[in-house]
Amino acid sequence: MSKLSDFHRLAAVAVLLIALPVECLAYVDPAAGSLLLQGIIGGIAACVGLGGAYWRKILRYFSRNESETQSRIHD
Amino acid sequence: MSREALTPHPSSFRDPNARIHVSGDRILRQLTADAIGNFRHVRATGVLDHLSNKGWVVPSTELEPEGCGAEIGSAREPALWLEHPRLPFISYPYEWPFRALQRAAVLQLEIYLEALKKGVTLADASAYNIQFDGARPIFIDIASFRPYKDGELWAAHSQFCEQFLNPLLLQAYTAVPYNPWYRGALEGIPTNHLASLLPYSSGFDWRVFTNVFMQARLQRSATGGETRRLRQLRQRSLPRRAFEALLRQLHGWILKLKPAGVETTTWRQYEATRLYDKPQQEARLRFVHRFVASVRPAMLWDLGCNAGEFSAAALESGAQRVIGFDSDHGALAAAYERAEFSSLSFLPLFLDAANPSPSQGWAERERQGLTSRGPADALLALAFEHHLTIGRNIPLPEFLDWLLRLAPTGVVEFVAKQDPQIQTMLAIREDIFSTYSLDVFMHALGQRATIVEHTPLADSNRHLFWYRR
Repeated sequence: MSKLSDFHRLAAVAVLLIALPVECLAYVDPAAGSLLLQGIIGGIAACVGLGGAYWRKILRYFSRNESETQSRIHD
Repeated sequence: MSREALTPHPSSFRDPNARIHVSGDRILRQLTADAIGNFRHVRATGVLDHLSNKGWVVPSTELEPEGCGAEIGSAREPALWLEHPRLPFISYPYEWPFRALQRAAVLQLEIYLEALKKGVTLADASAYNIQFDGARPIFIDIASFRPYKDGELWAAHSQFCEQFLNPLLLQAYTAVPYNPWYRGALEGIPTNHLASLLPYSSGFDWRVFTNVFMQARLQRSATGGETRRLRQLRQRSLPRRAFEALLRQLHGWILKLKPAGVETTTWRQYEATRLYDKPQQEARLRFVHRFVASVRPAMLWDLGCNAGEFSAAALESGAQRVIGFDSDHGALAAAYERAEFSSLSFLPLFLDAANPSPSQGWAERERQGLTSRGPADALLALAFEHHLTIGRNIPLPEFLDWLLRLAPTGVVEFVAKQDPQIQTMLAIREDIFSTYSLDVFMHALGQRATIVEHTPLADSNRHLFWYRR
């Protein structure tokens, strides 16, 4: 459950931050290649986060159905 | 002390808001009004005290303007002054053996990870911000710390790659030592250059693929991009968990890297195969003990330190710190392992003595040459002289002049021409050293210094001299 909330948080943060520009203040000149690479990593992290959240939702949906079936059997 | 006496250190210009000043023996850092806010914020998180208590970051004391001398109060700009302890020796990444650069990289990443826990990050990832206390790395630039903004890109990623990761990968994957290239390039090894050199097969490791090949490819695609497009790049984001995962991935990877080609160098085997016989070696150790116990140097330089046997002996005999120098990467690896394993105040560094580290960088003052970082209190030059005078054609008197500039007293071993090692060196070249002899050596040394003790090593063509300028 805690993992699920982590994924949610990550996904929410990623979505928010993709939408909101973030200013980088530094006296180091960051190479464009490194920034592009990090953009891709950030995108993957967001996809994994969102995908994970939906995957868990699906799992939860089926596990709920299963537990309902189980409880009906026990009834 | 007048204000003029407080000029910024020539290497401290990249961050104009936190420059280092050297005042006598004191190391002072001036934070301008722009940097004070960040510093206060970072200090309040407790991360600086935490990391400095762990020994990872150099301690700093905030100075009271009225209580610490005229030089502080006389600065015109509003500023906060900090004082750091003075480090006994400054070394540069291009002088570090593989294991030292690896240790420094790991420390840099661990500091990032620890700082992030407190909502703090670093503005850069410069290898020059790390120094060594013995074989233990320590981070020295506390002005690099600043508050972390959620989702910000790691601005220093490419710098970390160029100054830490790429040199290590070069040696690990190609067996080419990074030191001469790093010394020439100063800012490290560019990722696109490394990508041109690494074998394509190395790209099957996805970490090499992403950090080297892919980064170089993306850099190429961005070059020549419009300003507007480049600005948009900086508006992308890297979620904090992804940033931490990236740091952890680099940390685990770098820890496992091994230098290729250092296991079989001649001098790596020096102690194992005993290139010199045991009685000779014991005679050297006794001589070194007598010398060091008498001089008790705070700083001793060991030229041609090999695996550090005499450096360790000198520390046992009363030297406080030893900096070792050698040009053999295998010997340096063994020496660093010795220093690390036994927690010695001993740092072995790469040095081609015929071409020592020069003063270089911005205005030729940014990084100091070897001589400028001396003099040492004493030095050892055992089984070293013939590598320069025969191996590199340096005339004996000029070799001695150089040696005497490095320290006022020392032990130097003279190797006569009949020695089997010199005979091997001369086997495939013409002997042009007609004036090379013990008499010439003693005469030249006697002209320049007082010979305190002269001991011929039994059953050999070698002589030990303890001299004093």
